[in-house]
Amino acid sequence: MTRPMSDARVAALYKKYGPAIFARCRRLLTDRAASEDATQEVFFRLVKHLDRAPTSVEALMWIYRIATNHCLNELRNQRRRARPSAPAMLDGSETTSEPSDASEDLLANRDLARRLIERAPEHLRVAAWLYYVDGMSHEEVGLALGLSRRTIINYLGQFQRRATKFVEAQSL
Amino acid sequence: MQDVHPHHLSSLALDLLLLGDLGDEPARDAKRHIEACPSCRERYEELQLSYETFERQVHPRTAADVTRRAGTTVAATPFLGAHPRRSRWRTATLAALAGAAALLLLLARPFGRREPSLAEDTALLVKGAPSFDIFARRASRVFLVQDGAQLEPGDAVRFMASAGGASFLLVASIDAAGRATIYFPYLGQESAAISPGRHFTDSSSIVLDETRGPERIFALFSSKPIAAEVVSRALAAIGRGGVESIRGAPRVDVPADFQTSVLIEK
Repeated sequence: MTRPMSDARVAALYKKYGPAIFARCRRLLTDRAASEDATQEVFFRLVKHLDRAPTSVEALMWIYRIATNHCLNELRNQRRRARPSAPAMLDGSETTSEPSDASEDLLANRDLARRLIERAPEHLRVAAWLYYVDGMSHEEVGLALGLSRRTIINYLGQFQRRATKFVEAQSL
Repeated sequence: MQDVHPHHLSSLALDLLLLGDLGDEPARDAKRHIEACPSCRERYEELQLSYETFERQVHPRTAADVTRRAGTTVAATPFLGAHPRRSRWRTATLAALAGAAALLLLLARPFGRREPSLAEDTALLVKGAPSFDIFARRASRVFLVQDGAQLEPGDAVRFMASAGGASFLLVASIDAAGRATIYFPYLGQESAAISPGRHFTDSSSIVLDETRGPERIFALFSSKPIAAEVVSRALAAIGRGGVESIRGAPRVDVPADFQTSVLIEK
């Protein structure tokens, strides 16, 4: 059974959650025009989820997931067009052991984390952004991405090892 | 790996606060934390500025088109039971999060020193017209300054700009006393370099002085630096025409590739 979403409902969702979507896109893309375009694209993808979300918490989880992924893809595509030879992050160990505190310290620098995230494999990027840049907990990241906390810890461990190797390789 | 670091507010807490959905007591706690924590205050204000920009500028321009294009159908399924991939633990946890909003205040990463917005590497080469916004802070309220806005001496203003394809920026004003001031780079000799395609936020605030009347603030984007002296002379020429000249002159005669201005009234 389906029902059309009324214009009033769409308008209300855009008015309520548009600022949060725009703020996220602006933070990721920085360029104003690109942020506005991305906001609309992301809203169209999100509108059904926003309509069903019973609370703002769940709505924001969807926003973080969809908007972050969309914008990181945009950044990756732009970076490839600008610098096709930019090195990807090195392949790190895929073990599930917990990373060291040293790599945590490395990623305490949010700007560095941003730059490293842009180079990371797709399945790690959004989780890394939500954790290192947005300051969300493992549990919140898991909720946003529909994954378990254990999986998020695993992903972040992979990301940290790759980031450490990448930075070490760049400094050689 | 530790999970919870009770030092800063997470993005989720800040967004909920701005949406007005954090709950009275958690909102009060969050605001107290923001007042006491420079890092969280800076993040909160940046988020607040984006919210204001959307509400004042983006939403009015795009709402009708978005509504028309959205025109989607949505499956009318109840919240529980009709989403086979929604596990009970997720539903229960989300409910717990929504109900225990105070805990959200303590979910954080131990952020390192916040890097300035001006980055030297990975230029995105994104084209498009530059943009320039002015935000004012009065007590605890931060708001976007529209053209013709009424401001007060003591209000603190900050600039935010997107460079588009420009490589240099100079921000200057002419006030009712006929005084030309170079705001960015502050008291500089020429335009400052900015990264093309990147977003720039001036980290310092400018506190408005006691001079009453109109003041027009110009943002001059260019591919080459413009000498401050050239700008000051051109602004002084506007000032010599008096307050009506300042109010009626949206452009200044300088070799800028793109310029925009905002009129404020004190």
